[in-house]
Amino acid sequence: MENVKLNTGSYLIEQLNTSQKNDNVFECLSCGACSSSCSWFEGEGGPVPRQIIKMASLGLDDLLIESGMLWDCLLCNRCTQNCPMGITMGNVVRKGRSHPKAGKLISKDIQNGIKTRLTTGDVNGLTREEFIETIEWMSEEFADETGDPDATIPYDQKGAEFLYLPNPRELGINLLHLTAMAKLFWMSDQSWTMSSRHTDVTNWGYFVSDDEIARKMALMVIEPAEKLGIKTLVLSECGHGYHVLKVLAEKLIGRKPEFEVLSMPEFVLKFVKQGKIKLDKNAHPYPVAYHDPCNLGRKSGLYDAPRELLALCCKEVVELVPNRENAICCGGGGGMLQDSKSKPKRMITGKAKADQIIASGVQNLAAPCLSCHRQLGEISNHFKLGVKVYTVAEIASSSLILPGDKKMV
Amino acid sequence: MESNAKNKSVIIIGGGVAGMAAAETLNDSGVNVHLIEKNDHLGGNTFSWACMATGSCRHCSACLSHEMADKLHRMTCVNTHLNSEILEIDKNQKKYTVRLKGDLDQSIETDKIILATGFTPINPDGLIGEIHKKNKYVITTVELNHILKNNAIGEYFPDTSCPKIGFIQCVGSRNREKGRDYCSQVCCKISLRHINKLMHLYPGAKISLFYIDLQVIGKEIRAEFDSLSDNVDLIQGVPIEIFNNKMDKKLSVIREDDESGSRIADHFDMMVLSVGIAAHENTTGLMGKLKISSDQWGFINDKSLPARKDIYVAGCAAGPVDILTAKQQGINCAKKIIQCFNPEKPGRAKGLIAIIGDGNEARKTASAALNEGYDVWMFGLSNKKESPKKGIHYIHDTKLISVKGAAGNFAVLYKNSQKLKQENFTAIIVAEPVKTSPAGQKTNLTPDVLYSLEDFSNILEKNPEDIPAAIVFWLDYSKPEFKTFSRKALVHAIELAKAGKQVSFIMNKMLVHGLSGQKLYDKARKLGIKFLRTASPGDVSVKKENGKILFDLKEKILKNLIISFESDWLIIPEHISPSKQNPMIAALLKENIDVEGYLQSANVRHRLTNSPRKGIFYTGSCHDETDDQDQNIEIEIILSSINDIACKKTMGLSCGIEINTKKCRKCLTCFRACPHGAIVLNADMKPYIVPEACFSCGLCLSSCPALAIESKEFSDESYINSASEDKVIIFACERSGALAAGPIEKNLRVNIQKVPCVCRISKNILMKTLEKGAEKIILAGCHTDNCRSLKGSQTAQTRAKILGRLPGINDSNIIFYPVAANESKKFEQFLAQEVLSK
Repeated sequence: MENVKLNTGSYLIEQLNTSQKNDNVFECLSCGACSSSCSWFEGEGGPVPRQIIKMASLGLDDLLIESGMLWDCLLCNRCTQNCPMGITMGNVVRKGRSHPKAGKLISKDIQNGIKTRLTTGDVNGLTREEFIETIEWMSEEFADETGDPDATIPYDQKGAEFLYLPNPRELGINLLHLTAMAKLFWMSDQSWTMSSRHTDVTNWGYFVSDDEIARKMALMVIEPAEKLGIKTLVLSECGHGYHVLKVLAEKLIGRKPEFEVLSMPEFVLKFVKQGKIKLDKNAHPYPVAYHDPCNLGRKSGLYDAPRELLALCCKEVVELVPNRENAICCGGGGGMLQDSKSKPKRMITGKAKADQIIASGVQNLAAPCLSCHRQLGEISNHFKLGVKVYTVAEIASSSLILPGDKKMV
Repeated sequence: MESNAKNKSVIIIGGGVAGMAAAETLNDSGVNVHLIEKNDHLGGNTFSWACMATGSCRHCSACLSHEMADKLHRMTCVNTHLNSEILEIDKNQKKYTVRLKGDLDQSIETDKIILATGFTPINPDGLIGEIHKKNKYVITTVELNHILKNNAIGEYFPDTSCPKIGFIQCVGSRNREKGRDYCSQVCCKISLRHINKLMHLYPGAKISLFYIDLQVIGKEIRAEFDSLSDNVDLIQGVPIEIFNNKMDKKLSVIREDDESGSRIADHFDMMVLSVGIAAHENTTGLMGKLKISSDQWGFINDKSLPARKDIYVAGCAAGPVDILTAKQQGINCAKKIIQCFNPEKPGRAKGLIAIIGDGNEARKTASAALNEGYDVWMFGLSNKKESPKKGIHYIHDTKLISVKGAAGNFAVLYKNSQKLKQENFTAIIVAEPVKTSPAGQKTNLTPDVLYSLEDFSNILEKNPEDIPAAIVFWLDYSKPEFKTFSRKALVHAIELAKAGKQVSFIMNKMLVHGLSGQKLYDKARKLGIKFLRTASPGDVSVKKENGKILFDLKEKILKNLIISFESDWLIIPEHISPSKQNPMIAALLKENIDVEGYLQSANVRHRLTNSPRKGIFYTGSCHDETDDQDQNIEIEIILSSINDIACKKTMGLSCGIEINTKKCRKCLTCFRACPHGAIVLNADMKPYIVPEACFSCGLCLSSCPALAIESKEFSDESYINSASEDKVIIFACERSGALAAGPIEKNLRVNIQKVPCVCRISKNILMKTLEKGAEKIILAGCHTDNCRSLKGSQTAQTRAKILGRLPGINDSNIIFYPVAANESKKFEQFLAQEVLSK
């Protein structure tokens, strides 16, 4: 049996025993509600939420760091969704991750990614020249594809209404996704642009809970956007990117950004409602299940827009049970997907999701987050679910009804 | 004197236990009552609750609502308005005019209003609410009550005699996020009784109890908990999600494994959600109409009631209370109103009250009695010299010899300074102190660092500068903590933490009873006070080194880990046990002690403060787990009952039973048999009945070998004749069997005769009824420990057994069947089997 010393003045106690709600671990009643609803569910290993809180509140910082629970946690907040005292696990765990002694726990991939992002502006190290080269080439392809010489993928256009912030994958291994998004902008008839100054919706400073890094990364997006004078920043489908830029940004940078933030599905829905974008329900004549990304739903409160949009693109939106506030994490959250060695673990954390998908009986799944999208695809392969996974905007893009003057070639 | 009250009227809103108790009390003083009930029957929530008896009564009190409802229908001053709701309330100069929706279209003028609107059981929501809606095996405690009341639990387990059942506590309560950060108090007790009942019905059942802090509080609850804890899987931590495994139809929850601390799945056949108590939804509108306000949880804030004292609140409308307390509060309200109508100037020497005990609780009682105009004699063991106080007579170092007589005129014989003395009293209040002894000897700590809570309180009050920097409170040191100590320790801890001290608790659970208990606990945690949870006291080891106390503790939530910390002082609440005097006092008063050795039997017919012997009362920790506030309420109700005796309000009532002095052979069987001390001896050693003390149970009558005791109303002949030509006759107690038979009587078409107590049915009646041709006599009486005359139903059971052994009679001819008022279904099934099949 291990022996530890109670500590009343630990780093975590200082950080967490604030008087504000949500991260005061001292408020914990030890009711155990969290432990019964952790996305890891049954079995050895993984975090035990109540123990995390207990360790933090007793000042057992070292024990918590050594337990490995900090980086096993998916930051999905499912456990504390129903906390009677309103404690938010994500805040607690992230504070633990930023503990001075916890630096060694951060995976090499995340450390490198952060370094690259801070030096180059892109988590994959894409340079400005490479970005411009890629976009110009894609833009030509896009004009050819649409048969509309005016159909371009613009960048650095001052005074444009909308600025699209992609996921780095869209400029690397998943160029088709960027084209699909461009098609939606093109159909919306709005002035839009991308920026060669910032090409990355992600913010890994959030995962390591280093506010300084998170602030820098947020500013890398916000300041150039403000210089361009855009009105609305449209984010590629990314859970934590949305949570940081929509919910946390103001607190991180100490002021409100001078533009509105929308996720891609919100943007599309807005112009569908204005009649600018027209969608064909028959493009996907089968039911599609909707997955609530934790960062979008539980943590940022976005539940309805992606569902509404999806409903216009397919036969029927099927709900996974439980969903919305109590949705089950894809199993790849909390920085797990950003660690290339995490796959074996992710196939454990993804089990509950796989069960949910099987229970729903559907063959097609949509998630408005490229991380969830990747994890769900891997779950489908691993558990042999045979499910096709899309993002919501991707489905919207392939449901577009093109007017006569904008015929595809 | 009563004429004042007779022109007055009171509206009671809510026909639950509190409302009915108030109505009954007002009726007895001749006050006109309008009892408004929105349902089609009286009785409130508890009316649909099941009997928890398992062989003997478990004191849940649910059956009382049936008895009260039944009585009310026959009361002359009570107008019951069923299916009615309040439409409008107008206040004129002194009166209220109330218009009802439903029952009648007229308006009622009233002087005072009692709000007894009760509660709504919390409807489970969230994840657990979803599965509760969809799955018939996920039920609330309310639904379990209905199932048990309908005797239908078997339908849920057709294939197994060993069902696995999980109880989840605090569903809906103790949740700040949902605006209900209070403990509903009653649910832990309800679950313990339900578990006991299920174990009785299914001895092979495996039951798990998931809880946050089990509230083991109240009379006999510690014993109840003790006897269950070996057979029940006690799991700290409440699941909020139940999974439905479609394959094997089991329900699963995830919990932490006790050994490894990992998450494991636990599978069940049924999950019971122990739902809390919320303010009744209709109360809000009512409060608006009356311009009174609610507390933050929606319960009526009694501090917002008008100062002119024309609106009162009783029962769960003001916050969660158990059935007996709700009843008590109803009576209290009514008594206050009666006093308002008939103000009595406190004068000297209304009468003499004897108080047994000389501790703080006894003193408090004495002062209160003095204030009400009584002279008080306190009988105690201590030989401390008291400075005399006018009106209070201290009798020290006393040995009580006997208590004779009855309410209004007790003769107490005692020995003091080697002399026998006697004094007469109007009433007797028992406030014997409990035995307290310092706890924590096993720690081997020296007295300079180990303190009892009481000693620590004194230091905190008088020499706070002596208190060092680090303090540890250790609760549940030897057995479940008493609620007063938990509360006191918390209050002290908060004060210390505010003064910058470092405070920690070692505990098995925190008692957060009372509406504000949870908030106090929350405050303490927020101040940084550490709460370390242990599975048992053995999980802590303590030693002293270099003037500091070093603790090694196995924390319950962090498995396989010993946490070390130090402090300067350790505070352990004193150990409490029943006074050694209790058996002697109980014997003198002809009462029982409870299973834990405290005074007053747990029988709900006489609690909270009464005894089967009218004029004898109990208050304080000698009989129940009370705190200061509880005792204030007890004293209030006791003194108003004594007032009725002193003013001879109960005098002159005829009990209908008389001893025929010509036939009496002075054998004194009746004197010994009377459970209520209502038979006393005159100077010639002849027994006579004191009508004021008599409950008319008829036990004396049926026990008298000389057949010298007679009742005009309930003569032997009337019972024998009532059997007429029927083959089957049921003699049913008016408080249990007859009420249970009520709803089924029409269908069964059997001869059911209501009796004041089954003990009234003498051997003579039984024999003559058989002689007349009856083939089966069923004595349907109360469960053991639920009989108002204590041993009445047991006496009937014994008679049935003895007669069944006589030649020519067999044991199926006379059957004793224990049944409660709320066991209609069970009774019906029994009768169908026993009677109708023949």
